[in-house]
Amino acid sequence: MPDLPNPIYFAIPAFVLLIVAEMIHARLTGKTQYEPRDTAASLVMGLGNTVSGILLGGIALAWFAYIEQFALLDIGWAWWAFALAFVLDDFVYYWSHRFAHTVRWWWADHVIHHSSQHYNLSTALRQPWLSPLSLKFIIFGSWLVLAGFPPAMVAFVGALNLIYQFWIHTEAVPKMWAPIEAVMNTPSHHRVHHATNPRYLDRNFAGVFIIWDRMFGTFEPEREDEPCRYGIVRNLATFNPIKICLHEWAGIFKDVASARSPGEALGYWFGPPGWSPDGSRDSSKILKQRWMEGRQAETGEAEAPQRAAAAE
Amino acid sequence: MNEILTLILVLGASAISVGLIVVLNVFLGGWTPARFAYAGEGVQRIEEGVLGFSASHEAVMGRGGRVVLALEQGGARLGVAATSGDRATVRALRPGDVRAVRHDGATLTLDLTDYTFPRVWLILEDADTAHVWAEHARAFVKTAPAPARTETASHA
Repeated sequence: MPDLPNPIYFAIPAFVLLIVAEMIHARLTGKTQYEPRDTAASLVMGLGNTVSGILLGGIALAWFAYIEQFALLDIGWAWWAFALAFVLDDFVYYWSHRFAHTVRWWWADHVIHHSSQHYNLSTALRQPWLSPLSLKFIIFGSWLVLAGFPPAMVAFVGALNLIYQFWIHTEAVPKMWAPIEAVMNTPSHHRVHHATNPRYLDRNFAGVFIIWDRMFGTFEPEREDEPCRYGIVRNLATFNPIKICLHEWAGIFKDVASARSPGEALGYWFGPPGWSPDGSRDSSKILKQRWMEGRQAETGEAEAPQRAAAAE
Repeated sequence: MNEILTLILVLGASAISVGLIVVLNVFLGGWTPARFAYAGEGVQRIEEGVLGFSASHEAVMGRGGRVVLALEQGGARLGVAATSGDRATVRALRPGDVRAVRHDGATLTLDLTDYTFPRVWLILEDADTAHVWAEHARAFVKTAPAPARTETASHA
């Protein structure tokens, strides 16, 4: 077994340099903004994520070490296995990410990454602190290990996937060459993913390859006539990292405590973000539906019903 | 032992980098604290941020342009837009979303049940305006009856 390094440690200096470069670019061009309190919050969340990975990552490691004995195959360490693992890991990432947006329990963890109203390279590092406790790694992280890829290889390609995703958190890069936009996740595609415009909600879940969104009907291109508004549907009015980290968990516990039946409690816990028993809150699906109805009423555009069908 | 040392070095260097990047951000500038120029601007932000919110003509802006309040048509919700850094945060408050309402002279304070947006305070034109908006806001306090409506301020 090769002694694989953690590529994220090597990437950190590049992250720092690229953030500084984008910050200077932002100042010179005005095309994007960095606001110190937002930047500080994002970077502290990133640093906390690293610390929590060290403290809590053992839970996931222990799980993968345990399930390795049940692996169907022994794929080994061939070069092609790395390439295959990278692609398959990205496929799993797509679904993991999609569920992170549609199941509140996992959204409570992932919402942290979306909680800035800015979109710059520091936003890429705004990451949760309690991920291992969401147990998402059991549902989505086990497949490749059970298939027979060595856990260290899975961890390695997963880290490469995350490193790739750093550079796409920028407004400094416009749409790229069409063949690249067709296959790869790019800054343009990921801007859409971070936008709260109803048209863009719950779209472009890809990590590295945008083809998964194209295959599974969740792709939405960035439009010049609809600039992205970044953040979440209920943006946070705080830069406090603790509150950023815990706000959705606090919301879940509050809602579950007020539930009038076990069914309601389960709905608050595992339903889509914004779910409520009486439908009085706004889930992404409701927001998109309302937006499409409004748009159809205003313009009578023929594309609205098609999109409504696609959103189902 | 070497691994632990490397880890400590990486974390230490990262923490220093975070500090330096934020200092650089302050030094470079390039952002402007958000302020509403007039109430209508805040109302527009609420309508953009809360799909389906259609403001009535009753809206008010606090001194300094940090906060705008607007009643929805029909009075079902109270829209709030508050600046936060160089951006604004908006909410459409329903009955139960306000924990308490206080007004002292022209100063109006709303305590909200929102974990990340616990308080809104604004200094209004005068005590009478603060009183009127306190009454509007009380309709959204927990256990409050249906929102009462009063025809007063406009998008000034």
